[in-house]
Amino acid sequence: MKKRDKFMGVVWILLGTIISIWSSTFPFGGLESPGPGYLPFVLGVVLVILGIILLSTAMLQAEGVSRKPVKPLIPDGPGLTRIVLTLGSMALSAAVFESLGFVLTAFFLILFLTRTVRPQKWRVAIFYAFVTALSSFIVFRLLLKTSLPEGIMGL
Amino acid sequence: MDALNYLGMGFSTALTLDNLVFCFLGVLIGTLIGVLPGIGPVATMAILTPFTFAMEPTGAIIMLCGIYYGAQYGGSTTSILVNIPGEVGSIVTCLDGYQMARQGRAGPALGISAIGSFIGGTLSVVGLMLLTPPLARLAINFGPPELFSLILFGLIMVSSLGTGSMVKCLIMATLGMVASTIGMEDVSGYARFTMGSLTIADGLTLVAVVVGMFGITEVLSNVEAMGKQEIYKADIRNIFPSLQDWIAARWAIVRGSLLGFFLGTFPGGGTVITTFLSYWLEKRLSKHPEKFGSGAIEGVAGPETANNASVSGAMVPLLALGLPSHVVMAMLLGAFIIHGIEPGPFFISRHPDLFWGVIASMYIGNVMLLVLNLPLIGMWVRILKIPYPLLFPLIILLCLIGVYSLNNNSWELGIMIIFGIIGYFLRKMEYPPAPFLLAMVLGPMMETSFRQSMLIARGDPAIFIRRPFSAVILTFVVIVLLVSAFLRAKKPNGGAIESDFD
Repeated sequence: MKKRDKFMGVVWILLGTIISIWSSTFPFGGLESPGPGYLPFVLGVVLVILGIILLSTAMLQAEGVSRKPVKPLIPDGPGLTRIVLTLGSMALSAAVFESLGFVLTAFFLILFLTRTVRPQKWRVAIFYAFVTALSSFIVFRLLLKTSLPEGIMGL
Repeated sequence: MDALNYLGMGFSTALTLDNLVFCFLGVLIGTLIGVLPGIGPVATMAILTPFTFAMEPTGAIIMLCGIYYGAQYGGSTTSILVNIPGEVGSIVTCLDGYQMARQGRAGPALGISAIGSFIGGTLSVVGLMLLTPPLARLAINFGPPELFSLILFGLIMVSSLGTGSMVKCLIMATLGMVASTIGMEDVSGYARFTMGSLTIADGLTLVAVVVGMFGITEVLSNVEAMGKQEIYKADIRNIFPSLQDWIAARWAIVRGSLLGFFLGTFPGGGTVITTFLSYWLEKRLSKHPEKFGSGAIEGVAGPETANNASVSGAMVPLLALGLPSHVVMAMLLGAFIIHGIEPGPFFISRHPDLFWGVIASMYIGNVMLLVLNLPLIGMWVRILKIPYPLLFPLIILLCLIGVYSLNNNSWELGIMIIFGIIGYFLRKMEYPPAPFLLAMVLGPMMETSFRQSMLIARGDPAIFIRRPFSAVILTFVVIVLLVSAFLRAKKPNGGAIESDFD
């Protein structure tokens, strides 16, 4: 955790600096009537200070006092695959949500995730995806009348 | 007498068919997500908020509140049966509840949780009903400087009481505040940090950020660790605790109710701190502290009562001052604002039907929960058997539909995913998401109250210490900062209460 804290300390200092510099381009106003740049500028400075505290605490901390084992930031093989599959299908669903419509997106998203992340039998996956898509159609379109994209099938 | 008249009016609002259905839906969904470990009340409330648009505000708020207190009932079930807390407020319940289940006493453990929750939940609604109106009357005298100091106090309390490092909590609060400045600024309409994007021109959507940081982050963490789900097989018999159990648990329930309610009213006094303190207190006061951790019923009754009592406690500052004391209340405040209602000193006088209707619905909801959780416990146990590989695609789908339907804008889905990824990495590095969210909700209020204070004082910051109430609050801020810095310096593991229970 110590190494990470040092690294993140630097990240926060940099981010705080960027926020402060960026917000100094907004109308600033004076103390009497603070403008839109005032608060973000102060917050940037606060972030820099907190980053310095985090960095210096991590540097001063004695080696090897960490009690808990540190989890790796990027998971190992199978865990990573599952995360990438989940995130990828989510991003793809977001991209096709409007053109494909929410019912078809729901069907393919569920089918994909149940088949890949922890593979179920095809029968189970197709049945589950179908039931979910159908029930979301009933609940969101028919009962709640939510405005969701109909997409190519007009569902 | 006045309060009783108003309460009668509240019941006439809450007992309409629509509101009864919304109350039931709320507590039902609440229990469900409490039982299911993969999703919590914050994300659920965020996902469901867009669907409440078409509803009357009273029905919407009744349902959203039901989700929160319902989740406190449901959360204990998984803690007791499979040693996995369904909710953060049920973490300590694992200690003795699971041990009781292993000794074949799952029934009484579940029974005393539900009964304790009912007593704590109901008693604390009485407190909420009695304390909120006078506090609101007091708060009418608060001006912008007092509001600014109170918000600052809330954020500092949440950061110092939170889990883990205080610096990290403060960093998250600062980042949340920065996030709240994104978009068009209120006074001049100046676009800050938008980079020309129309999606964020009105600011980051709270729902997208919350669903990302709470819902998606949770899913990603669970998907990574998938494969460790323990399925409960045994039957549950004798739900009703024996006379001996009652005698052992009675004072724990009383203390849990009081502790939960009063701690709940404090900023940062969410269900985690409350339940840990209740457990600690019961262990201290017990004649047999050695039994704690090996199936003491007081260790289940106290915290399970306290977490329900703290729900109503937390609603006091939200309804009287318009200030959320923790992350779930921040989400509820977001829902109020989306429905065009501003909680605060004038809330009760402007919307008496809503205030008293919600209070009455909480009495009704607690009765519904008792029925849902005692005779129907078997149904929830069966739900526990749904394997996570089938559950998480459904959670993702609901996140997508909920966030999209807010503004019918698929870029919001992108924001949700980005915050999900950010939340996932920050969680691994032990940065808690709660201060971020709270600051994001409170940010605009804090900025406005600061600017108004400066206008009143013609640019003299001393106004914050010249006004007596504001000065008192700021003194508390300094004391809290110094005390927690001192405690943490003495205890290198961060000084958070939870560290005693690792």
